[in-house]
Amino acid sequence: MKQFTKVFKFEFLNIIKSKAFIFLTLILFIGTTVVLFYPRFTEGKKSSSAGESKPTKLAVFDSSGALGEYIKEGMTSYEVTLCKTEKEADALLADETVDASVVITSPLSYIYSVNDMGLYDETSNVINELLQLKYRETRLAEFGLTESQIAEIQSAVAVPEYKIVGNDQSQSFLYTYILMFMLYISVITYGQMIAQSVATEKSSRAMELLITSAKPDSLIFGKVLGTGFAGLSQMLIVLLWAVVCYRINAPYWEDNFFVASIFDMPLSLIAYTLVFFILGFLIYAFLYGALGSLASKMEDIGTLTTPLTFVMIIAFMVPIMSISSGKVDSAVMKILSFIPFCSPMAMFARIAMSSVNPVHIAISIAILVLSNIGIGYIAVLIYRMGILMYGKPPKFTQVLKQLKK
Amino acid sequence: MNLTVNEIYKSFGEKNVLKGISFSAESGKALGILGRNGAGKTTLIRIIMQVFGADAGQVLLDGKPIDTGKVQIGYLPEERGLYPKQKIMTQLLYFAELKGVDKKSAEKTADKYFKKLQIEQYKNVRLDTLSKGNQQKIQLVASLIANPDIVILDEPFSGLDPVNAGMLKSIVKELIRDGKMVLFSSHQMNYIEEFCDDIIILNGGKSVLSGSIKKIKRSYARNILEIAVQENENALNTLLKAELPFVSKAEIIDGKLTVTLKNEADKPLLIKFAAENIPDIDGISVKEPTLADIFIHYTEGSV
Repeated sequence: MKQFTKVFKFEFLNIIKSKAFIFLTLILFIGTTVVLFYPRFTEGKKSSSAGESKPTKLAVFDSSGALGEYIKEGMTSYEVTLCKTEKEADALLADETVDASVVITSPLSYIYSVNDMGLYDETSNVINELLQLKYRETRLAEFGLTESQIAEIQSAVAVPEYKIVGNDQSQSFLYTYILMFMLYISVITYGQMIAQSVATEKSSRAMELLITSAKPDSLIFGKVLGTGFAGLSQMLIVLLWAVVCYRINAPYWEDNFFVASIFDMPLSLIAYTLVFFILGFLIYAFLYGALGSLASKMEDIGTLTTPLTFVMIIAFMVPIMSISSGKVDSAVMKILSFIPFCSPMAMFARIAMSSVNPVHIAISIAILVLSNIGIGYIAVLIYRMGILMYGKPPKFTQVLKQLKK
Repeated sequence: MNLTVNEIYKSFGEKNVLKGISFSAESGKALGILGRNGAGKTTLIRIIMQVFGADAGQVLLDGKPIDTGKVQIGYLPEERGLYPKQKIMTQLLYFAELKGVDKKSAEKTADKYFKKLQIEQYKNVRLDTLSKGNQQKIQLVASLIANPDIVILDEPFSGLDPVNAGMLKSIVKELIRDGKMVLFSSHQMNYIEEFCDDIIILNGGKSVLSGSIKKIKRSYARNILEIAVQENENALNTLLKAELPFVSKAEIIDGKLTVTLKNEADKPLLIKFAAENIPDIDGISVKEPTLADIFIHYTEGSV
């Protein structure tokens, strides 16, 4: 235990003193700060120069003449130019005097021309709405309804009232995604770091002294947990800083539903995040450490760790695709949420985005804890064997054979 | 303290590396462990240091199974290795702490050896900025940082210039004088002869020879004599002409007049003859086998 603490401390300090770690932490800090302070500055500008924001310019031509004027009245936030001919409208669009042109061909059809279609072009929706209103109004009047009757029909709107028993996926999606992504990135970067660090100790032969000074169990556990703790502290500090930044700028974020939803994460979920993050990180990190011990040169690491990285990618991609397509409780996800290497992602996504039976959560966590113990044990066995082995990295089957002994 | 290695067997897979090794070593003395490359020296050292267990046999310290948690063993591995990117003092203290030594006494020990080895100025620089010889000295300090009772030095002199080798020699001698048990492995026989009273020669996983160097040398036949003369050729002719009945062979080997007697007891006869008939004689002595001769004799052929 004493040796473990020494190794833990040494590895932890090594990581947090490394240039890569400091650099990454700084980038994350600056990134969060810039993103979360952004609206404070843009918002400020908006209020002082609200009038200057340019309205979309529209050229409208209507052969019947009546609808053109109606549209101009209806589209108050647009700068509408009424044209006398279709050619005039085309010309205005061509020399970019207007952003778009509308040529009305019948009461319910028109040609909407635009140089470049924007991602969030709402103009045609507004015109649709106006034309439909006008059409209904005209037709209803033809059926002999009074003006007030028509107005009543036109203004009828269905008002739903939402009752969400479980989770609101539209609200939980973003933070689930972010947290899963963070776990994924942490495992890939810190896992690789552990593998590399073990291989460096081997290739520099510092291992010769290490194994004669400390027990292999202390060495691998100290390294994995020390590195993991460095990664976890980095993540927590950045997240904490993000919360601070958000609180400072909360008023500016009020109308941004997505960002606000991230910081409205339920407390229980933070606890689950920690549990799944730690257990999910460790199960991979143990194996990365064990695989690193099989390498004699730095070049071997890639070949050795690729299969594990693939497992991680699959364990990440399947839940991500499931939550993106709204099938967070699909049969595949249900199965994955009990499989050790996938459950940190899959079960976490299900807890965050749907309602999972607490018994199932407990079973999933229990399986994950037991697997961590098992994998930790296997990792020590591989490590013990690997650190004394030099030359070509052994094949998987050879490792299994050795482990049996 | 007495370290007794008793009938150690160890195999890795199909390969039998050690096949019944036994020897013993005492505090205040150095034991030379010799063997060709791949003879199993490193495996033996690792078993003594409990990196892994033996398949059979025991390592006893004062009659009880050795416990590396209780006795400090310093190790200078043949494959030198420390953290190249770490500051020297930082990593020395780390290794000391892993061995259960507190920082302060480790710092004291380190300072003592830094001074002796004249590398005080490198305390706080990164290891990879040092020359090979200086890195070697750091490695030596690392092996002594926990003030060990048993010191295992594997090829400590390789890569050192004569001045540095001299510093190392005085440290090894001091260790022996301070009552440490030194296990010394090297292919440089002159160092072994200089420090070690006893040796063990490993070959093919077995100990083919063990005991005191002096006794081993004595055990060889003493019927070969070397005559030191000014003119080898003249003396050789005199000997051959005389056709002495007790001489079986007379020849010049490596520039020395060497005479092989039929019988060890006839030495006085040759000495008498030489004294009377070779006027320019400087001396006459029994040719003892060198440690290198003994080593080659026992390990030539198979590994």
